[in-house]
Amino acid sequence: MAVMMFSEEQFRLLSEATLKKTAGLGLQHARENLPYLGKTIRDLQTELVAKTPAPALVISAGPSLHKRNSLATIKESGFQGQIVCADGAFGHCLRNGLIPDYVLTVDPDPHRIIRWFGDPRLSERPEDDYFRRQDLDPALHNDEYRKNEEMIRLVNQYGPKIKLIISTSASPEIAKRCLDAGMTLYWWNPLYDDYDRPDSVSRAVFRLNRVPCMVTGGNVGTSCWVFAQTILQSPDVILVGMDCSYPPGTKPENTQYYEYLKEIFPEDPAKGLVRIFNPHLEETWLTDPGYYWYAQIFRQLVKMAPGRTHNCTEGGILFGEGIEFRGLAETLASLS
Amino acid sequence: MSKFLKGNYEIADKEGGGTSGTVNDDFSKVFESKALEKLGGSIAFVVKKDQFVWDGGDDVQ
Repeated sequence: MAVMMFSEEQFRLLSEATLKKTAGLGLQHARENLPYLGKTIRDLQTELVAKTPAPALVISAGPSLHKRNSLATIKESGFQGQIVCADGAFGHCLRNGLIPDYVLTVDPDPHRIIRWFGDPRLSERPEDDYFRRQDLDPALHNDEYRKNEEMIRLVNQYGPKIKLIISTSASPEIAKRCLDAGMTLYWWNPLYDDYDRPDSVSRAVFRLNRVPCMVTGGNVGTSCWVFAQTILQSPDVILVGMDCSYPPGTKPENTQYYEYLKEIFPEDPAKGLVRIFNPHLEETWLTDPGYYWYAQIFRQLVKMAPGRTHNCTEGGILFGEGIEFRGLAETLASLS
Repeated sequence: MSKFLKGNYEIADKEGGGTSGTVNDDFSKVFESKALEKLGGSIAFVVKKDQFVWDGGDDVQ
């Protein structure tokens, strides 16, 4: 075995905890999104049927996206395939002149996620240091209001060229924001749980809106990868920015779940973090329960994927069977 | 020239790395805590019958 694993019971507990955390708000948003519903991901698949499937780049917002300057490598390569961007990486792409073909969003948080699209109500949001504390996108650390205005402008400028792959769990403010920006929306439901359960949330939301339910992998980056594998049917899916971890030397207070780790380990929150050695990099990266769970899910899903997966993040802990851990430039050159 | 190795292989136990096959006691404490719910993912996850997309099954008929 390559890396330490959660036990089945721990995996189940995290899955149930996440369902409990997200299903209620996701269902509420599904109801509120009904007026905005139109095309679904299956409609997109029909629209693409005449096109030869192409390699897809999936851009997630992990720290290596910035540390490795992945976008510069992508632009230099002249990559001609499809670009699928997680919402958290959208601003970085637009600011650096990389216009994705698709942007995907799924997290039901009602206040934080719209920031990725330029928030027209930023001044009305609850006080939150979530973005300032972390390395999610260094551009958000300072001068948040000016950066938000810039984001609004960029999304409005490029929106008509971009397709939003929007989960019904997302805040309806995101649907409205992106429609106002001229994006074309394609909808999907998260596959929340076993649809054969008598109290299935997945079945309830499907009955509400008749929209296909897609496997999420627990996070927006993996959802992008599932989308590229299943709807775009890309034979090669290239990942960047999918670290599922924090670089060597990261302070615990700069990790995403620090405030909750403080509750569990008030004397030493760092006890809730795990160090994973990546043999490809010969570096030890830091991860927390949430991100470790994402990595474990991905390793499970990659075994059922029809297309190949190349992890060109050049950082992080996502490696293992079925994942080609390679340099980005050489991978893009080999697929051109 | 790439400095990254291609392919996958099992790692040896390295100082500072994770221990294969076990979770340390501190990490297990996470699962005993009510904060577990907040530590969960961005969105629920399940996979069934090796399907990536469920189109409603018998609900469509």
